[in-house]
Amino acid sequence: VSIFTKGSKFRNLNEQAQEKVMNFFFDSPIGLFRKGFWGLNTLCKLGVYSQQSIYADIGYRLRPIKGVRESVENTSRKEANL
Amino acid sequence: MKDQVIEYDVVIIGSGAGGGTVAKELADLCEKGFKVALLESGGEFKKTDNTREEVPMASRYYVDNGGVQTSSQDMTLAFAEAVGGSTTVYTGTSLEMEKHVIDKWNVEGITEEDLRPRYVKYRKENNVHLNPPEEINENNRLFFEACQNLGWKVDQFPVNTKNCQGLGTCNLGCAVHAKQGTNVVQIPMALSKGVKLITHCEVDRIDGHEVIARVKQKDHWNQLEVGVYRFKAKKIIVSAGAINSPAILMRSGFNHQALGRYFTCHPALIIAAEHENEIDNIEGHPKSYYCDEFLASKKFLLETCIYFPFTLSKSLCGFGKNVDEMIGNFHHLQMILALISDEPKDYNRVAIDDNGKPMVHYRFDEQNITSFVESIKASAKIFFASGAKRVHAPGMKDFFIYPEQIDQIDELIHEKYFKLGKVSISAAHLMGGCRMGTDQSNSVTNPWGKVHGTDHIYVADASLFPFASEVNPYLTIMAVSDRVAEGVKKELL
Repeated sequence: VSIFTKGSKFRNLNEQAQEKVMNFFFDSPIGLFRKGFWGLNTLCKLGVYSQQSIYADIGYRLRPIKGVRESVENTSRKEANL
Repeated sequence: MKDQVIEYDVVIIGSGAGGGTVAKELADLCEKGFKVALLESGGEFKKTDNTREEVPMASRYYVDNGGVQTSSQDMTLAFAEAVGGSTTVYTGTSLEMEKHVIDKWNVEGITEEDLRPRYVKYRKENNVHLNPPEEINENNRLFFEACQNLGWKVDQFPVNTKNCQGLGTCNLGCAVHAKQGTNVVQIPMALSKGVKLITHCEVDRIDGHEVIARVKQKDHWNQLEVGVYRFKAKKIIVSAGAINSPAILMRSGFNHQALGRYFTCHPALIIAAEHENEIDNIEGHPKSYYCDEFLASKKFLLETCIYFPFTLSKSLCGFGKNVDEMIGNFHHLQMILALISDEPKDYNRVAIDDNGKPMVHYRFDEQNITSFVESIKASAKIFFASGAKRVHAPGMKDFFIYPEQIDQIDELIHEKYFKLGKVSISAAHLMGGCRMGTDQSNSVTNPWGKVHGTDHIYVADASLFPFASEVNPYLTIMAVSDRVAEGVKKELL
């Protein structure tokens, strides 16, 4: 990546410059760069948005299950600190 | 050590919409003394196994977590590996193919007169009905009203649920088994009549009258020790889905010119918009309406949908603040699934690598890209007609489009911005690869699903489709598989 940042490490760049580098790959005319970025971007999203602990913050709610499943549901919610 | 041979009269490979249907249809044979086995590479999931957590459930039900990549790495394919196959993870939307598509198939004997009674049978068997208005949530209702306001054709999806609690997590497997998939309806019927279910049993190939498979683990349904087995049968029905059925036939040495080819999959985009106010989007059946206004003219279908936080984030074409803002307002989001109707091409195909592992080669053509872009434009118009405060048009000039820009939609949503590899394209309607027909140069099976050049190997799943179904395919898979079972039964009795 430092090739595209005049030798600077990505983490040392300011927010605007970091975004510029990411956009270079994200919207690149070279398909391989776009696909590579898509893969990394998806991994980052997986790390954040797959966490059940963020559900309450983003307004994603799981409707409680009626009947016999309630005890199972309560256990899994407890485990997820919801 | 020599592989153990177990003898059956019929062995069915795969237990999804195709295999589950065939198992139920052939179950009567058990009462006449025939032995029927249903081999499934996945396991059986009980209601209590389902925690509705996105990633753990995707990992449990789907092959490669629902993200099998094509060789060009610009599309992911989702299909399940479980008792019930992909019927465990669909939304249960139950549409019949239109007459013009049946005509386009042009397969001898596959006519409206042949298929419609089979559709009726499975609509009844699987409790297909229209949900009442009070069970339709705002995400769906907004779509319906907007289409009506725009003067576009919009219809309600018949669905196959029973005692649905509106959990909204159909695509993660139903936690109350309300969807009437083959795991809930046909397979229990088959088992009650004596069909033997063997789970965790991965088929490698067919060798003459023997199915060579590896049992990966024991469970309630499968007391066989881990190891390789040869299941010998008079009739073998391959129902492993549009990727694995061609792969099994290829590993078995079949080399029909059309094998693996003419793969179609209704490539899809998830498109989202944000409303000022909170909307009721998560609870309730996720998929109540579809708009086929542009299916004939522009080759795309729009459906209501709601996906889960990670799946949605993956589909948002961007990173950082924009994505955070949108996901952070999940309860303000309206979503549309845009599916394009793809034509079968010989270069879109399933192949196997040196290890026998299937790989899908799929290339988008200009018509596909045009359909995607037009589907995004139409979705944006629906969102704005629904009152959305901003729309995310994936892969376009700007991450968001605002209501005051509605007159510029043709400029803002344009093919020049649509780049493969940048936009998340996924597909779950996998079809073709073992297409039916009479001409052996462009088909793999005859009109009854029997593999050309054999007298005992059949295919019964979506891989038989010569053209895409243009609608959600499961009911057609069941209808066609019912027909295959009818042919097998006639030959056995």
